[in-house]
Amino acid sequence: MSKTVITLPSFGLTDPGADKTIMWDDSASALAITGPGGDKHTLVGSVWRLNTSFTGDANPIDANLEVVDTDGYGSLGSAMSESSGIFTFPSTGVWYIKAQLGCSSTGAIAYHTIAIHTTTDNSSYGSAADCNANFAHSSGTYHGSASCDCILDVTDTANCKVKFVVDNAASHSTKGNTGNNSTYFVFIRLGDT
Amino acid sequence: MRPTHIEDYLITVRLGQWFGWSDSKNKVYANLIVHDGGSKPSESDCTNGLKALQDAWDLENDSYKSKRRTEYPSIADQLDDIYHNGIDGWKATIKTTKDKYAKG
Repeated sequence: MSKTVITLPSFGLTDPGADKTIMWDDSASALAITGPGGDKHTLVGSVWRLNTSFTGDANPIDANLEVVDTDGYGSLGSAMSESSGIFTFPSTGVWYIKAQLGCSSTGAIAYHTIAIHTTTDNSSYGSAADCNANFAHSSGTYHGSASCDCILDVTDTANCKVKFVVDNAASHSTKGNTGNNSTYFVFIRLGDT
Repeated sequence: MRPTHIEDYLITVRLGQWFGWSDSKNKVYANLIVHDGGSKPSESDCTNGLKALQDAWDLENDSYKSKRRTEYPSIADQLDDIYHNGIDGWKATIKTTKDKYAKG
């Protein structure tokens, strides 16, 4: 394993006596920051998006998903994997998850919900976060957006999973695009569990 | 936003994620795939469906109806017009806009 270690000077730190180490670990293909207590913050991140619009509900969104691949996109570390709308994390850790909804409505007064559902037993999902775009016009086409996020402690990649749900969207379109992010999902590993 | 792609029509055909593209970077009819086992609209269904959506959008957003709608006085002002000038006075006010944007 090849490692490049850079030890930072202690200026600006709350604990000036403890140097911090930034280590590039070729085997992990990720940047690891090690604190004085040995806690590691391996940075991993990726963005997925819906590439095709649809109308109506989805539990979960399970088709037409892709990793962003345009406009200079880049990711860090190992990729998330997805099967039938269930996302699996590449490693344990504390993960930040964001769901962004792009939507439109034609002549329907209603709300349009997107939610992040998580499980820690690979079976029972709960709504960790949700948000609504509200439409209040009975005619014409209007566009909306909403976003929600949560943090999930992934202690076991086989059991801690996430999916995304669209609800109450019978007359609304959930917008997908393969050229830019309209409805999309962000996954960032913040640190060790 | 004016409908410009057959995807705008396809999302009106059935609810849910029933369709997708074999190449999402090339969304042409030949690459249209069906996820739910249901029927696949014909290419003419798609082009005709898109045309119908565009016609409806144009009528709503770029026609005498939409131009009149943006120029009519507010309901409050129209009620005030009726109060002060009577129905005939109000009709004269409205006729100005109707004549300006005739049915076409």
